[in-house]
Amino acid sequence: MKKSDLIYAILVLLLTWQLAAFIINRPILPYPSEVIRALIDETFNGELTGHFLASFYRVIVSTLVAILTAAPIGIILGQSRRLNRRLTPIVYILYPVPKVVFVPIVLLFFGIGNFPKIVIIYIILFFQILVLVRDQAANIHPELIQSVRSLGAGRRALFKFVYYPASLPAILTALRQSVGTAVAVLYIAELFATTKGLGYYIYLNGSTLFDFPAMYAGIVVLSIMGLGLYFSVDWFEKRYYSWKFIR
Amino acid sequence: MIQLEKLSFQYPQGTVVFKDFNLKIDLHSSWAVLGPSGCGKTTLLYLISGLQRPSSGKVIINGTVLTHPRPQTGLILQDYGLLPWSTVRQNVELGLQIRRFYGPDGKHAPDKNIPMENVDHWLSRLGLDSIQDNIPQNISGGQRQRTAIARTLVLEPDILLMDEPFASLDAPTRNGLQKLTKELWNEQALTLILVTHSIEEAVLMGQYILLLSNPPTFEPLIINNFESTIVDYQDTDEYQNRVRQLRDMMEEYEKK
Repeated sequence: MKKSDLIYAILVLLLTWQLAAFIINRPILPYPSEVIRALIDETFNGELTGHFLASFYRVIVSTLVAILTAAPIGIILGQSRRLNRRLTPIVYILYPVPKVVFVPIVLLFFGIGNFPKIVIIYIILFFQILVLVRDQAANIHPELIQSVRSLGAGRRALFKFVYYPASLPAILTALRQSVGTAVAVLYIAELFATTKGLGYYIYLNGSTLFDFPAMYAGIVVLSIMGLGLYFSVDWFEKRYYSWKFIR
Repeated sequence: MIQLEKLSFQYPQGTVVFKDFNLKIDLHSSWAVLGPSGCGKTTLLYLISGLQRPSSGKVIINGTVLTHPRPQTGLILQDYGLLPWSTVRQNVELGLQIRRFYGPDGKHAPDKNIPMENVDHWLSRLGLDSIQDNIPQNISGGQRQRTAIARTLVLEPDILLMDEPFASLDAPTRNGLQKLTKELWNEQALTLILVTHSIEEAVLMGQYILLLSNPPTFEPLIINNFESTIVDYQDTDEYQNRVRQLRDMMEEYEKK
């Protein structure tokens, strides 16, 4: 997306919001200007920054751990037909189960604090990355592996020169697909057993304090965080692989 | 010398392709392996490369029984052999990078250290200078095969194995690469084994032609073709006669 496109999209959305606020004319939908004022105020005088950092930390840690565990397992499954035959039915059944429903259970198991929130996001990302990386690793041409082996490559060299670069696009696709889900799950996870995080902040201001501009400020920050992650994946993709196919 | 001793090979599905098969290949000779698809041509190449292990019997290269791929054996496949995400230069450097990655563990590393300057030499020898920063999908099929050849020759091999290397190329490019391969064979003192399904290519490329038929193969059928080293061999009558002879043989062979 070009910069001009981005500015255009933001302007259209702000105008629509402005118009909607004008028509509805109730405190539950404040004008963008009020929200921006609240955003600035909450950032510099309130605790919004702290809540943002708490949420950001949870998303980043769970994403990194998910990549580091799911990608290698995906590569192994993609390359070992026997293991794949054993594990695929299990993954197949677990994959479509909506993991969000496990939020209360995970919270009961792991209690309060960051850990249960990280676990729940991790579980969701893990399956997405695992399935995509496995399929991509299974599609690597045997000729490619054989010819690199003929140059003297053992398992470690194959991983570095073939499996890892071949799986990178799948990891990025999985991340791109799951950024939205991760942020949504983060929100839900932060409704329970915490006083830190954007989820808590949004819910507190919307349902307890009825400070609607602050609540929207929280939503804006959460959205910006999601967008930022999405753009980071995009940037990384453009920077590190310009080739488009693996065959 | 490459020796195959009582070599047998059976696919996991059960088809036996070679049974007690013996073959001797002298150093610095050139061989073309010819036969219909499914006759075990590629399998033979993989067995000699060490990528596949025989079900029984031995592959002996210069007196040593082969147990894993040997760094001095180069293998070039028809397609897909290059890393699609790496540039031409990175692909040519790959063998050396792998060596470096392993370090001197003795298992895969060669005895001698090959200098990186080799890469520049082969890039320019094969005319890849100007495209060295391109990735494989952006260069022609002929350039891709040149890259594969450069990648192999950087490692200073003594044996060059090629699996239908020119099959997907257009005729002029193919002719050019066949000629180049013969030049390199001579200049680098290589032992060349080239698998093909084209009679013309086999006659052009091999001092010996190994004819395979439907499996399992017990005895090698070898046709001497020493004239293949003559300059512009494909323009001579001998060439035409040899092609004709071979075509008859293959028809005869298939009737059995």
